[in-house]
Amino acid sequence: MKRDEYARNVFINCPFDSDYTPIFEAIVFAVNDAGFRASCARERLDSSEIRLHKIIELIGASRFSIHDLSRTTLDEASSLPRFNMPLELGIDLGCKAFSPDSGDKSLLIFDSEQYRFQKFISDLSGQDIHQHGNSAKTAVIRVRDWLRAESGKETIPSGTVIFSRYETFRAQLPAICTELRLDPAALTFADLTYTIARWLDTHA
Amino acid sequence: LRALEGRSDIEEMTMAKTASKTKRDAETSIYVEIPKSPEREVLYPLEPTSIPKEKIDAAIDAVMARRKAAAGK
Repeated sequence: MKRDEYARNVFINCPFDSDYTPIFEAIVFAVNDAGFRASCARERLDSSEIRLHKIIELIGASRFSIHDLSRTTLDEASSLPRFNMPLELGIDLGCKAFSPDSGDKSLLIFDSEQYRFQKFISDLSGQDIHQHGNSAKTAVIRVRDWLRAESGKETIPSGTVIFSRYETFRAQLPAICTELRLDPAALTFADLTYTIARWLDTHA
Repeated sequence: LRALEGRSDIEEMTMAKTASKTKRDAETSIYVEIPKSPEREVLYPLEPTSIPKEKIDAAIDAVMARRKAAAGK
């Protein structure tokens, strides 16, 4: 993999439930509008690949990653927490610590409330954990500010500008999907990110 | 009290107008287009889309054309 590709990839480790979709889409849009490429475990549909291998490959290929722990809550049916997101965060921290080429990795960690993570993953104490308060706009602003600070890129628009563009895009997405005879809620990750990229290209 | 603070009514009105203008500027500046630059290129996904990319391009173009027509441009 080329080093410049690694420097522009952002791995997103977020929940995939429908309640979280507005935040997820806004984060993906913000990453693209900032000039980076978003990736996540949803993008690989090849069922012959082992899921964890896909995730490890995507993490290794991304200098930046966003981990959202806000949905690490008890499942109503099983009364057990879903731990996929903390697991992927752990893999990423291990990659940064042990891979000689990944020491420059940068992670943005979200949780719903300040210090909540200390109750279930106290080893993260000392890390800078951010809150989005379940607000897509706040998430966009945090992602933008983090990418601006960590990448050093000076051409990234402000979070407010990015979110305003996201709202415009989101308002047009149903019409775009109607043209394609697709359900906006059922877009694959590749379709969504391609549509975002093409929309940004024509609205830049 | 205003006199003690050193502000006249006219000054207060001027300040209010300026604040209003600044607010309007801030609101309208949201819609300022960001110029493209080589550093701010748009990156496309590496994974294949489920439908042909040309169809997505055409759908976006069609929606844009309708919006422009509706705006009378």
